[in-house]
Amino acid sequence: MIKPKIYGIFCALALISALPLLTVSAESETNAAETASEEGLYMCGDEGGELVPSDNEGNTAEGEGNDIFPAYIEDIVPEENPVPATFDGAEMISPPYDPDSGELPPAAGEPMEMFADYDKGNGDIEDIREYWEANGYPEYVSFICDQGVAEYDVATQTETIHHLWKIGIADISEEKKEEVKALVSREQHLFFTPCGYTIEERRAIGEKLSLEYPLAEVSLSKYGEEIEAVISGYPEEEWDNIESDILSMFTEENRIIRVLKSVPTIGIPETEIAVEPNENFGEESPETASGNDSEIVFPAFTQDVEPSPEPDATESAPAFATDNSPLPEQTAVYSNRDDYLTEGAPAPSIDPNKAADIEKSKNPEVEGAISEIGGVAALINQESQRSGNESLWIWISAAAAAALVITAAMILGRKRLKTFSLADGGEVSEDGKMTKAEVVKAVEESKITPSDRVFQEIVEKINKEE
Amino acid sequence: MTDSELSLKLNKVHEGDIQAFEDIYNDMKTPIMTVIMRVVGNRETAEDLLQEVFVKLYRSPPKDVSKPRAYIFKTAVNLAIDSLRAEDRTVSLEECEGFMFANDSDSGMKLDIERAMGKLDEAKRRIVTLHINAGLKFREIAEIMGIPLGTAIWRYNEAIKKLREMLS
Repeated sequence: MIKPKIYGIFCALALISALPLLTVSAESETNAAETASEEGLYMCGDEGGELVPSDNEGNTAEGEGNDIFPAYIEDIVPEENPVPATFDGAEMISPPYDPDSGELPPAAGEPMEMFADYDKGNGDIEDIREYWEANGYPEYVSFICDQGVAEYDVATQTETIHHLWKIGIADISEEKKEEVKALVSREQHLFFTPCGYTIEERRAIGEKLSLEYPLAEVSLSKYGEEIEAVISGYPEEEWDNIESDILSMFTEENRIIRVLKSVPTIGIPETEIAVEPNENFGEESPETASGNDSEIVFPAFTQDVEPSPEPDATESAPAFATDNSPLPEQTAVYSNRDDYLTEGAPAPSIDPNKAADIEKSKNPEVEGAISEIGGVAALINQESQRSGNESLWIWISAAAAAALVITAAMILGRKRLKTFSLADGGEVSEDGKMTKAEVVKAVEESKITPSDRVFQEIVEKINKEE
Repeated sequence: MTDSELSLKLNKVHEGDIQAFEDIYNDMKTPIMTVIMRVVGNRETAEDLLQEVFVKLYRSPPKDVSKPRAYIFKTAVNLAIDSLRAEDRTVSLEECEGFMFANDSDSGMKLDIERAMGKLDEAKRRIVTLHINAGLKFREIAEIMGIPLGTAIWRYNEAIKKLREMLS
């Protein structure tokens, strides 16, 4: 994918991402080495920082650094055993490290046993990459790429390429970084970045995706740990219908679209798409893990959520006091009262208002009924207060769970189900916007027809010339 | 008209067949006019350029061209761009939208489209119209515009996204 167009983007991103690190180092020169190391920027070699502006011949002067990799990089490496770096103007070529020279190795770390047969003398990161490609990557490496920048001298029309090697390390640690550093020569600018997956894990995921998406090809990004699903076999006429985020065409020979971590469902039977995003993509957002709507699985919040509490009886209690008709709820509570009483619960006090009502009523039957109902109402109040306290937490939990579900639904649903098909063959966008197909159709219909006279004038011109 | 059919017609034009020429004109006049119009933004100029395209086509019909349709559109786009350069200006379609669809019954939507198209940058507008109105493949558009294929597709998708937003 590192076609020139993308390469330029990566270069810019690499430069942007590196600059803050360099700036931090510049501000604190005494701690520069430590800072740079912590930040992940590393320049191999004892002297380092020999990158300097090129002259018109593409050669370099020493000691001043350059705009791309300023000279303060020198400060992050030890000054002992300085070896002048060579710089041919086209690209940095490191002097080979000779293990028999008596010099210190370029980095403090010692290669592990798996690198035992690697010729450290070459010490060039490109050689190491080739070696890894041929012999297998270290188990922690996710990717390795050059995100260097090109410096163009307008005056001389010469281009100087500065390499900045980015190495993705899974479960990154100083030990692993040192291990890689130990392999490279002095002027290799390395930039370590933490990754979630090793290259072997990415390959395994890629293979699984290849199997599960019969119409898709899967490739690993060489410039990051992304896994890219590639649509192939679609006629170009159908590309407009693809709702995925198309990043780029990647080879003219293959003529296929590359879609980053998104496989459109067009043309693929739903039953054939059964990838579980979490399983395949681990920490990746499910949003980008797959484009299949049918696989959206909401977290099982509902299993953990308490059942909805009964409606608070407090408000209904006064009504009972003036209504003799036994309601089902009233009956149920009344039966519960026996349980309370048998357990030695204190007899409920009668509400003063209810007592007043009793005083007003001189009918013994009504009086008794009111007394009974008043007791029930008091019990309901007590019960409802107690259950209200308990249910408060239930409500809070339920609300939190609902908020989570809604958030998850919004995240999962975003960019997924974008259109609905209508019975008449039309489409409606989920977000109310025109669909892509509608836009295309509208543009298509907004054609401009020339006047009828134009052809006649063309013929006249032709005849005139003849 | 497919490329192969167009090739056959062009061969006939090469032999002086005015009917074949007219067939080609009738088939391609609208998409070419649309493309030119979206580049130059002036109907009168666009019609002049359309004439120029077809006069050139009649004089020297392309032979042994694998994609004659793309070739013709490339000629049209180049002429339109040259015309703009000669006038040393760039064009916003908004300046000419008023008369573009004056006689069109569905002019409201088309005006919206043209307004939205006018807000796209020129490169994206050309890609959109070359792909949608001219029916060219991205590969052909990339060749015409001298840009990488991925760039053409990316710009197209960006343009469609913007159009969606603007038209919604």
